[in-house]
Parts: sequence; structure tokens; C-alpha cells
Amino acid sequence: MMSCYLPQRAEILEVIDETPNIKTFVLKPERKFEFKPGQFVELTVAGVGEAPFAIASSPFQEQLEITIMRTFDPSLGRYGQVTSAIHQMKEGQVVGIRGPYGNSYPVEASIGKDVLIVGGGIGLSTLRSFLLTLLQDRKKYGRIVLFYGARTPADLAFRREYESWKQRGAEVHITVDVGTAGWTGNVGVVTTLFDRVKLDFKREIAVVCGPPIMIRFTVEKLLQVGYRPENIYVSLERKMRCGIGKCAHCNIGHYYVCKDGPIFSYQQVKDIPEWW
Amino acid sequence: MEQKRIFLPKEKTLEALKKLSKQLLFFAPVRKWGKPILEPLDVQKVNQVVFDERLSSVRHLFLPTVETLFKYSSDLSRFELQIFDKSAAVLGLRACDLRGLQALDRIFLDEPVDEHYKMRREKVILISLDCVEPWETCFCTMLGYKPYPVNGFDINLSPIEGGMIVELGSPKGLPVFEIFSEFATEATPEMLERREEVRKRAERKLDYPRLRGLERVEKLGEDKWKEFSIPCVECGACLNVCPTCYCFSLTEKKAEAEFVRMRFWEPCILERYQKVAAGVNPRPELHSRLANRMLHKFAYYFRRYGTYACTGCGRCIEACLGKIDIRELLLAVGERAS
Repeated sequence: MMSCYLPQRAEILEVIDETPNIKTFVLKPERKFEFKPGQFVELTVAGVGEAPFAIASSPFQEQLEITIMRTFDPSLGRYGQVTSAIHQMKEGQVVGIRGPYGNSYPVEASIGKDVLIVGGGIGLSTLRSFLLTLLQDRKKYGRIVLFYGARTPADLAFRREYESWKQRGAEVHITVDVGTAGWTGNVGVVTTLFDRVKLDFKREIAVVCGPPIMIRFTVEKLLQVGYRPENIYVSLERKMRCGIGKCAHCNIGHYYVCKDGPIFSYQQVKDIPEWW
Repeated sequence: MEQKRIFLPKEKTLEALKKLSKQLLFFAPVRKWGKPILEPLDVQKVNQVVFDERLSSVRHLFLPTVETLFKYSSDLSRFELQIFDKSAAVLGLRACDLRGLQALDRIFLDEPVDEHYKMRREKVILISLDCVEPWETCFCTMLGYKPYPVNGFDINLSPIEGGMIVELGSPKGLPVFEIFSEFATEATPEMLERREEVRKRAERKLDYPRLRGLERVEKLGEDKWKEFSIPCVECGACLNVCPTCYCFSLTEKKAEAEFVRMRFWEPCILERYQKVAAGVNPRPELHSRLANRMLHKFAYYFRRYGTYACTGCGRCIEACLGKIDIRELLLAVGERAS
């Protein structure tokens, strides 16, 4: 007898500090674990609970990586239980994972096209899976441009990897909302990068993930500069409780983010008032 | 199945139920705290079964209010599944309850199959009842349904003068049908005729226009929903009694040296329902949550399955502290079919 709610065991092989409140957990699932970029897992910290997290690694990597931000809920006056608990965990300990769930980024549709990836904060985690997938087969695609914004330089996730992404053929543009001493890069929200970087895309695809407000303004900007709604993809966040389209927590209109998403073309969701 | 319908005389009913309760786990409505409540009954208690009242919920037998899905060791190496595996029967479902289960089946029996729900559905024999005297809040005919079971039952009981017509609806109901057969006589054409009369009379009492196009509830503007939600006090009673509501959440409990993963009903109209990381709430206002509940039932579910996730039972009307009457909304939105 099986149950669709049973997690499998995954050992933490390594914990990488990305920022003061973001860590990457390198996991080794007990059983074979295949996924597509953009999918997510339901992750269990024993005795604490289960929560959905995007996969940050590409399917071509041997290890599974999940990058998690410890979040504070001001309305409850406390940190998220699962994110806090996993941030305390060390290599050698185990977590549970269920999944992978959800659809994936438009990898096939990107072939022969220029791809713009726009990320905000921890949103870069799932986009990294897509970026690394594209870089794996670099020559299949046109320009690959990453716009990434975080609050301060200290909040930039995956800082250690930007150089290697550039070397592998991505154009990486970083900005912070607020600069700090020693920061010589761009300052301004992520949409300001559109004024700084020349994009002459003809058959372009744009993929966006970040905080709700960032997604909304980025989509507006993309439409303004001429992207078509069907070529803009957003990776959305909702409370995916079961992950398998049953509990009904994550609906946006008639879609379930866990099953029909988390990646939607803007064309799909633009007429649903609550998309964000 | 040569003989699908038999007649169980009133004076034999108790004996039949006694035998039934000896052979399997038997749930039936009894009066408790002034209400008909579903309880497991042993042979001493079957005389308390009430046939003429309506249960406020049968759904919790298949999707319990709180249920343990599995227990697991702290190192996640051992899992112990909790799955219902007893042979059981439940008496007292109405046609609306059967439709409610059909609505849940589309969710829980779809891939990936929810084994916890599936096992209950497979193990529990459904014994339904005709509604002889529909209740004040019933409106099943508005949605084109009948106040008596047409399908989805294993056994159906139709009260007529002097007893009940027992009808077998599926091979699964056969063990129960055989028990009833021991106490029953042949159902004569006259008896079946009488059943038709009782059914017609019940239907006539539910004098509503038949509505179509209820998915147009999606077109209602925010103002309408604000107005609709004014009397709502966010108690969640409508969701607790609804035969088609199934929103749930998962949680954790510590027990001795192990942990327990539980599932519980989580009403979609509560503020916390859609909250995501860092307390961001995509539906912070009550009217948007109430709108989502109605849209789920009449637009989203309809789009996916071609039918509404509403059985017309009217229990939500009965339960609402703010006296919200879903019939008013539906009459305003729907188009009259005949």
C-alpha cells in the first residue's frame, strides 16, 4: 500500500551560505529523483512540517539543490517554521522530499530564441535551474540574458556563480535596491536594468520570478518594451499544500499552481484578477 | 442480479439492522444533542436509528475532519501508513450526499490516487434514503437533481406505507442486500407504484425553476461580492456541512518517539488560507475569499468537470449565522431552463 503523501528520505550532503538568510541545501535523495527545471518539491523537516520549495539545480547535476530563504511573517511576528528549522540543519542530517511537482520552464520553446531571465531576491533559485539547463546546451539558444535584483549587495544569492555563468555564455546584469559601502554596481529596482542594457530581441522569451510586486512591475515593463503576453512566463507562488491538485489551496482562478503551474504564460493568467 | 428490489416490512426493519450491525461496522444516524448524528452502532443501539431526519454531514466519514495519514520515525527511515481497512456500511445518505461523494471522487480518485480516501470509498457500503419530506432549505431540483437517489448508491431505501423498498444499486451492496432479503418480501408492482407517488410528491414540494449557466457567477463584479459577504462572520459553518467542500491542509504532531502527519479540513474562507511566505496574502479580503468559494463551486469546478460542485442540499443556508441564502445568488445569476 502506498500513499501520495509519503516523502522519501534525502540526506543533506552540504549546506552553502548564500546570504545572511538564504542557504542552499545539497541533497541526496534515497531513490532516483528525476525532474524538469521549474518544478518544486514538498520538503519535510521531521516533527516541524512540510512546505513547498523550488528546485535550484539543473537536471544535469548529480546532486539535488534546494535554496531556501528563512522568512519572517510580520503578521504572526515570527519566522516561518519550516524555513527556520531547516536553516538550523547540518550536513549528514536528513529531510523528506515529495515530488517533483508542477510544470516546467519553456526549454523547448526557447530553442533558437533569445531568452531574458528576470529574477528578484530568492526568486533566482528556480530561475537558476532554468539558466543552468540552457547553459548546458548553450549553442541551441540565442542571447541568454539575466537581470537579477536584490535588496542589498549582501542579499544577492548565488554571487559565487555569476562569473562562471558569464564564462558559459550568459550576460549577467545585477542590481541592488540599496547600495552599501564598496558596491560599485547598479543601484535601482530590477526594471531599471531595461534602461541600461540594450535588448534588441526579435524572437524573444522572457521568464520572471520574484516577489509579487517585482513580478507585476517586470511584466508591465516587458509589455511596454514590446514582449508579447504569450512569450512572457511567470513562475508564481501560492500555498501549495498537497502539491498534487487536491487540497485546493493554491488556486489562481481555475488553475492550480501546483499542477497547472507554477509556470504560466502571462497570456494564461492576465485576465484573472488575482494572478497578483 | 435477478431481483433488484424487495420490500422490507416496518416490523422487520429492526431485526434486519441488528443482523447488519453484527456483521460489519455499521454507521447510522441517531438523535444526540437534539440533532441527527452519524454514529457507529452496535446491536444494542440499532433501535435508535432515525430514518426521517437529515444528517448535517456524511463527508467526514470519507474525509475525516482530522485524520492521521502516516506516522514516521524522526530520522525519516520508517513510515507507518494509516489506512482504513474495515468492512463497513453507512445508512442515511441522501441523494445530495451521494452527489457530494461523486464530486469528491473526481478529486481524490484522480491521479495520483488518494489511497486514504479510496480505501474508505471501497470499504464502506452506501445505504441511501429517499427524501420523503424535503427540508425547507433543499433546492436540488433547481440544479436539475431529484430528491431521491438515482445512481451512486449500493443500497437505496424508499420509505412507503408499511415499510421500505430496498433497491440494490451495485454488486458492492450485495452482502447488505442479502441480509435485508432474509427479512423481506417481494416488491409488488403496486408497491413500486406507491414509491413513484411518494417521489413525485417530494419533487412537487421543491418547486424551483431549473437553472442553467451558473458558471456565469464568474462575471459578477467586486461590488456584488462585497454586498454578498456583508452578513458573513467567517465562522466556516457552511464549509463544515457542505457535502462537496474538500479543501484540506496538512500538519504535524509529535507522538512519543515518532511524528505524525495529519490532514485536516481547512476552510477556504479563513484569512490564513492562502497566506504564503513572509505573511503575504493573495486574498486578504473576506469578499474575495467568499467569491473564490462560489467560483470554485460553480465556475472552476464546472470548467474542469462539466458539473457544479453543489448538490442543492441547502445545508449551508441552514447553517449560516448571517442567513446568507445561496439560492438568491443562484436565482440572480442562472438562466431558467424551462
